[in-house]
Amino acid sequence: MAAVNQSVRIGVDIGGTFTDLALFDSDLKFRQYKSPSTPGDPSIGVFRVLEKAAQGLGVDIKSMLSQVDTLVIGTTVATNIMVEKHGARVGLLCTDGFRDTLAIRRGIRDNVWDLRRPHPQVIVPRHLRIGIPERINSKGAVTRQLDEAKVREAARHFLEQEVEAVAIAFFNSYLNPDHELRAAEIIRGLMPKAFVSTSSEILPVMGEYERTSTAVINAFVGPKTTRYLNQLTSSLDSSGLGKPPWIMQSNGGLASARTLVSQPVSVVLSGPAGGGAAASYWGGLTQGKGVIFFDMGGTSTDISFTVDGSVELTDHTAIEGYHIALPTVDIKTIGTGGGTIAQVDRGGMLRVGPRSAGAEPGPVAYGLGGTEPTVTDANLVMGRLSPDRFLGGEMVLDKDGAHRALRTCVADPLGLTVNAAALAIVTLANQNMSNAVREVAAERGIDLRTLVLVAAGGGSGLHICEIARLLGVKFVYVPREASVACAFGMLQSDVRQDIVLSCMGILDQIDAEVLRGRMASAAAEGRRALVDGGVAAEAVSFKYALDLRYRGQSWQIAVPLPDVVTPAALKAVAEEFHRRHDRLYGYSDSSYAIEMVNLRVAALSVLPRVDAPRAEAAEPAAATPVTHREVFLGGEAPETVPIFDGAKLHPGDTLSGPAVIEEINTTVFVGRGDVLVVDDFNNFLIRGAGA
Amino acid sequence: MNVQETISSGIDPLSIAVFESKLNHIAREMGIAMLRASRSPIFSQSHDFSCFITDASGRLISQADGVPIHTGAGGFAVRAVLDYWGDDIAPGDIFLSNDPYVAGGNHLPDLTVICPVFDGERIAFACNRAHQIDIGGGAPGTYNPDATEIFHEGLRVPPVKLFDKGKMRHDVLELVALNTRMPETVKADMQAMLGSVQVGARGLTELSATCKEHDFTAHCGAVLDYAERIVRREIEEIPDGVYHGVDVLTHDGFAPNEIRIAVTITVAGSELLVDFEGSSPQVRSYKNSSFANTHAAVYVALSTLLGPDTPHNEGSYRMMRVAAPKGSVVNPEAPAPVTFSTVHPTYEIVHAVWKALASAVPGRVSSGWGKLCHPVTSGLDPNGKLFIMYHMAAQPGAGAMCGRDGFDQIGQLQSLGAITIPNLESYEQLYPIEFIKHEFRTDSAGAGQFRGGAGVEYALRMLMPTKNNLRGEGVGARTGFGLCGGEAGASAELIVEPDTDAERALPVSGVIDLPPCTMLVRSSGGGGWGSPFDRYPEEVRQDVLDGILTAKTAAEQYGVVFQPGSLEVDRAATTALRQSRAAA
Repeated sequence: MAAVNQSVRIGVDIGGTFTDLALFDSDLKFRQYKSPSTPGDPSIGVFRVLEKAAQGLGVDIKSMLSQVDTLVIGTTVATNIMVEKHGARVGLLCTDGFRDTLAIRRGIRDNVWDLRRPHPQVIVPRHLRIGIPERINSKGAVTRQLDEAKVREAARHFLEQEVEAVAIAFFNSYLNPDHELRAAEIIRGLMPKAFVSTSSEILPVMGEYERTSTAVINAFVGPKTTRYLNQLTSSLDSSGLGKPPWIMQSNGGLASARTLVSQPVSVVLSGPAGGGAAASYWGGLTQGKGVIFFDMGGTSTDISFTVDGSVELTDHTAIEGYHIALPTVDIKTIGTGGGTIAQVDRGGMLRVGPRSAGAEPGPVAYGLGGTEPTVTDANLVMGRLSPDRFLGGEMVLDKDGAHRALRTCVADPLGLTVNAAALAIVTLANQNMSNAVREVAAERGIDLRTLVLVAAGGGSGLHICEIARLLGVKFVYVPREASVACAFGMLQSDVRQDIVLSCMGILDQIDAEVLRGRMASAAAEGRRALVDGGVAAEAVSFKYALDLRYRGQSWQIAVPLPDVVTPAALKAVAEEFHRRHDRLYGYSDSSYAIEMVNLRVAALSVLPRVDAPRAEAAEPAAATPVTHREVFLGGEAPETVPIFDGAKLHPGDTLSGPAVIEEINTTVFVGRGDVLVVDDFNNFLIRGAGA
Repeated sequence: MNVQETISSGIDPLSIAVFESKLNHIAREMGIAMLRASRSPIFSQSHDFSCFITDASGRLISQADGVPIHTGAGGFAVRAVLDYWGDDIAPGDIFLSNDPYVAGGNHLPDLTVICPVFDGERIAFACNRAHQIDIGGGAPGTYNPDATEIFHEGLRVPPVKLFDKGKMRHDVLELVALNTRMPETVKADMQAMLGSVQVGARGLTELSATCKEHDFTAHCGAVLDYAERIVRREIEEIPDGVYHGVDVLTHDGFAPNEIRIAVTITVAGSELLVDFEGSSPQVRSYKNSSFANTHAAVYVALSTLLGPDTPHNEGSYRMMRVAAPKGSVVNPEAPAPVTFSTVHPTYEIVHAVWKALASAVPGRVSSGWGKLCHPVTSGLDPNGKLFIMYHMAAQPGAGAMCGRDGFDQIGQLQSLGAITIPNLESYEQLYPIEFIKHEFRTDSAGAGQFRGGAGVEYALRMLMPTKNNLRGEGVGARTGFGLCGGEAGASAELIVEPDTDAERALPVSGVIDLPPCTMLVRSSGGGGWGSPFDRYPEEVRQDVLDGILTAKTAAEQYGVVFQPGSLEVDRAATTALRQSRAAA
């Protein structure tokens, strides 16, 4: 291995099925590794994949880690706590008279027609939700003093009840945090071991349900998540890592474990968030075109879009029916993946999903006990996926088993051949996924036709060309890093802390001085958080935005705000608001008054990047297949199709479909008439048959 | 699985599956287009609109994006267009209607825009039904409690052409808008509806182009047959028989008066007849249900018995017939007013159907949902500006089902709980009010093995004088009935100046002026399912610990006894008490 000096960069993404590792070595060469995830203790999977990477570099893990400059980890620990509901025992302090806000949950139910499904269990049982006499009015003034004796009484009750974490969420506290802060002080004094979470510190914005829910989830995941992050940091440290690792947050930015101690809720959707940065990065390689980012894994598919070069954030996130209102990378997850189960339902209709075989038992082909055919099984049966090249040959797939399951569960009941049944499953899965992409785009006011469809995740390559056809998209981009997209994206991310605070008024009546003051104090808070996490104060930069709406509306749009607020700048902000409103809602009206709701500040520290190596413009040359295989493409019988080895394809190589390209961790199926070129960045650019 | 059955349409199974997937996708895209372009918060916040698609003959084929009470009535409006216009339906035409008597509407505030779709010949209709912010009539905001004729409720629109062969009829648009109090908003929202059906029409034309061997209509037939097959099988599981159910309204809108919604359901094999013979005659006020609404309410009730993955299209109710005597409260004669029908008597229709089927398939039927009790408050804010406030956070609890407790405070039954509850912090910013309380109401949930949902105590200071339109059927009667031995939920109460000398209860109905005051709503509770004595004592203990129940009620209703001075269940005493009660 080449000379060292702390120049290795590593991103690790713990997925539902695999733990992925993306690595730039000291020669800036990209490498990728995968190892099965270990849900019981995810850090085992992390060390295994690190071990694998070290082997790949020909060193031991300690000397590899000693050379690491940047290690970023996406953590599912908080996600798993939410899924398995095994977080801390939480007590909640709320304003007297309002202790059921959390349980009423605004009445939100995901499928109204499904009357039999109860709400998810409330995280804090009612007897641990305690009303405290106090009141802040709608202007932020105290109309009833905080009853401190009642807070102390509650603390004693919590101690008796073995409460491990306390959330505090008072009515209107977004306008005045004093009572929450004082109550937290009292609680900390009496319950020194407890994790304390106040709604006004995490999210001082209007809306008692979402604020309370976010604070409660913070408390619920808090103790375990911080314990886990601290342990992981120290075991990495004792394994030779010189600098503490960065943790991927749901907002697509990085934070140190130390910063996350007070706000672990911001890693609940850490895993897919790396996809946001990866999408922007690859968008940059495709002449800055907008990107549809399509990340298909074993259990689900994540869909996102870049707008003006990056993936936007959303404040509306739910996990397992629990709501979090912190800024989160706007990624829509749909329940179709390689492990999605196909069946014939009770009315005789073919269905793909919503059930999934997940990681265990997984598809029938994995031979781990799965008996119901999945999308992966269908691809295998048709010959699109090779039984002995899966995971670089580490896992041999059971094609006979997949064939049997398809016959029994789908082909026979529908009176089809097994190949036709397999094609039907893949076609319907593609249809469902492309419908979802269209709907997500429509909701965001995005015109798909001009975008590039970027394939990410291990499963996308087999479906991406057909999905492009269904979407009417001309270009498909399959980066070499596709199968470890999120881990790769982590290496393209900045250290980031988002501050959102309530800031109400009419935009054109705003006192610029007051706004500047609020921006400065929020910026100071953001800087403090980054500096606490190990960033140099002078390395911190800021991005500002205002949440705006037409007066009377109940939803808002974030519009960037320049660093220097002048009347002209505010006028430009108003114009930008009209433009965005028009994109999202199909109309705008400059005669309407614009209302401010929240101020947002993102404190950022940009980490050094590895630029994509670019080949000299190469001469186009026809690629040579390594072999041929029978692949079912529709029609009567399988056809002989050329198979290419991805490792042997170089910039300038071209090929046309039908063809299959096998990479270590993924397979790309190029459809009839599609033309593939390996571009200057050594990635696959596919021009669709219809383009 | 019988191969013969699945391929009876002659269309290959993949084509049908893809067709159905695309059809539902088109309906959802129509909904997204509507949400994006509409102005009124009724659509963006409460989603009080539905996009649906029918085939060329007006049979509902997709309602993937919809409010339950809207969609069951969808086909009526399209068939009214067909009756009215016959052969005079051309490409580029778009129709508008709302009238419940001649146009298949639910009530006047719901305008329906209907766009015929052609691929050579007519293949489908893309439709959007949406509740307007105003439709004229005697009161702002579409609900006129004083109406005694439909003419007092707003503008009646038979099926008219809003687009004629591709040309917008501005005269028609202006005519409708001019008859409302908020013409600009209504016009913008009608444009949004038009945009939405055009999105649907485009998608349907494209879909038709992909139908090769068999045409679009044949595919529709297969999708309807598929739904019919599933639902027939579910109905076959209901024992044959004749079942009766009755639910009542306690107030006719002007005076206390018992109004019966009586239903007789005859189940024979996979056929189901729902007959409202024996229901009360139509009433003076807006609490009549148009026939389309009655039909939709029946479907809301029945849909809750089916599996969650059941398709909802006209195939799903081919085997259901609804009969309602002319001139009755569930099929009134013009010009009876009907605006409140989507709430009352929708609750009563759903309840009556559930009560009837409870004796046949008790395990699949929900207990009663507590009925509404909150007023609509209006007044002038301190700046002299008119405000209209719906107390949407004063909703009742829902009924229990076998397998789960009722939802504690939840949105209304006609939407199956889909209407969301607002954040009170935002209400304090919008209206001259100050909240005092919003918490579950102790001892309001109907007792049962599965208990009903708790109502809430909702209290606020109203800082300005207000006018209050009282319309709550939940006040004064225990409306969330219990099933299979479960108890009814508590009745609602509406009180001003509680706990003072000036305390007084407000009546069920009417419009009253109030000075600045404190108002308390104790909303009604949902009904329990199964005998309370079969509830695990541990669950009863949890509710007592949580203050949902008092210890006294636990003993009285559930026969659960605690050890003195503690909340530990006294098992021996509990068993003894339950046995003696059961014997009594």
